Amino acid sequence: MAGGALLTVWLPVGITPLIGATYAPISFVIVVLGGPGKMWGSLLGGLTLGILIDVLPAFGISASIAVAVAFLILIPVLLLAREGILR
Amino acid sequence: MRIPRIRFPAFGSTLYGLALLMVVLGIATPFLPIVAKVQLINFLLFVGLAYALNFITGLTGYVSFGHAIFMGIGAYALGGGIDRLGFPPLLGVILGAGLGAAFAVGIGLVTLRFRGVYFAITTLVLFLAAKNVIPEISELGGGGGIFMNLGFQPLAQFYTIWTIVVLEIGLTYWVTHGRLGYGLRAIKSDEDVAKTVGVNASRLKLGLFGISGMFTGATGAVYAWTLSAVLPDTGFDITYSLRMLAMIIIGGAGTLLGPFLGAIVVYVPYSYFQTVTSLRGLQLAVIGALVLLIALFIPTGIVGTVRRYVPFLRRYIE
Repeated sequence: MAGGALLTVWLPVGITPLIGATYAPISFVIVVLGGPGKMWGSLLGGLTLGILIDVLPAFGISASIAVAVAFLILIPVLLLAREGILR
Repeated sequence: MRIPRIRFPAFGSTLYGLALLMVVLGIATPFLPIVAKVQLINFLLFVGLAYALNFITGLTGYVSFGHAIFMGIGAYALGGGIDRLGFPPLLGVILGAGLGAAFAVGIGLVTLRFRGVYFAITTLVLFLAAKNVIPEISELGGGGGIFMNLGFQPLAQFYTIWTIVVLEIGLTYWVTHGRLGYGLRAIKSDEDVAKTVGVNASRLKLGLFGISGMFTGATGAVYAWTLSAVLPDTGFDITYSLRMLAMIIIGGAGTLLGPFLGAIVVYVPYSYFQTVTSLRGLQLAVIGALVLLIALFIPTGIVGTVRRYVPFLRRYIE
């Protein structure tokens, strides 16, 4: 909830009723990536996703492919470690 | 002289009823006014999607949020086939079905290892990734999509989607009865026990996921045909994933009649609310509220509840 309020200040484009459709799946992925129910896991998952989305375009990969890669990273992580990246 | 008694094969009254309905629709549609034809095509698109998802989510209990991927793949197969390769639309639909099945088997090989909420989230994640990748492929029109300019062909569209729905109903019946049906019910109740007693669970699940992807791809191709265009937003539309789930939850997951009833319940507000200005946009809210109520109070859907509380109908409805 606080994150949503912070987002309103942060985003230059303003808010729309559909804003949740963009950010709800991202937060799902972050939580599962870090491991459900682990506070530090979510922090680590959020950092992983954020860094991937922002750093990959610097290597010449287009921004929307970077988002796709950041989402898909969840699948190998879940295949190798069911409990998320933090044990 | 004795008149020989005609004996119908014992397929059950649900299958006979659905078959009769489809035959009547197939014969009557050429004589209907154009508005009714368009409504019927759109309705059968919903029915086709509902039965397609029923194969995996209804029969095995694996909740897939990613079926809009296969819809989008079918839509883009039709668009690419017609615009780039010069196919006739019917061949485009077949290409959509083939690609849908191929992608479903590929995706299923990885995602069907997960169970429960993990399967749901991996399919959701795959959908989000696909939605982000498609606008980057310039061969498929990039973010601008493909416009096909096919003209208005209601009868060809109707008979294509009609054939898809008939095949789905027949296949659902064949899969739920006999040996496969026992295996599926075992997987849905407890997969580990099913494996122990000798059900080849992974092969069965993969096969059903492939069938499901094939029909979703074919239906998505017909959907793109009715729009005469494919856009990233209409091809890969998460609301269609949710609508498919809503239809089989409302109707009764894993039943033969359920997806059809669910499609009626979801399609009527969807199509009626668009015509009334003050109600436009509310259809998703209404369907969402209905799904909530049904999931809370009658989790087995319409068919399951009727079978439970009206014993004499149990012989006729499945």
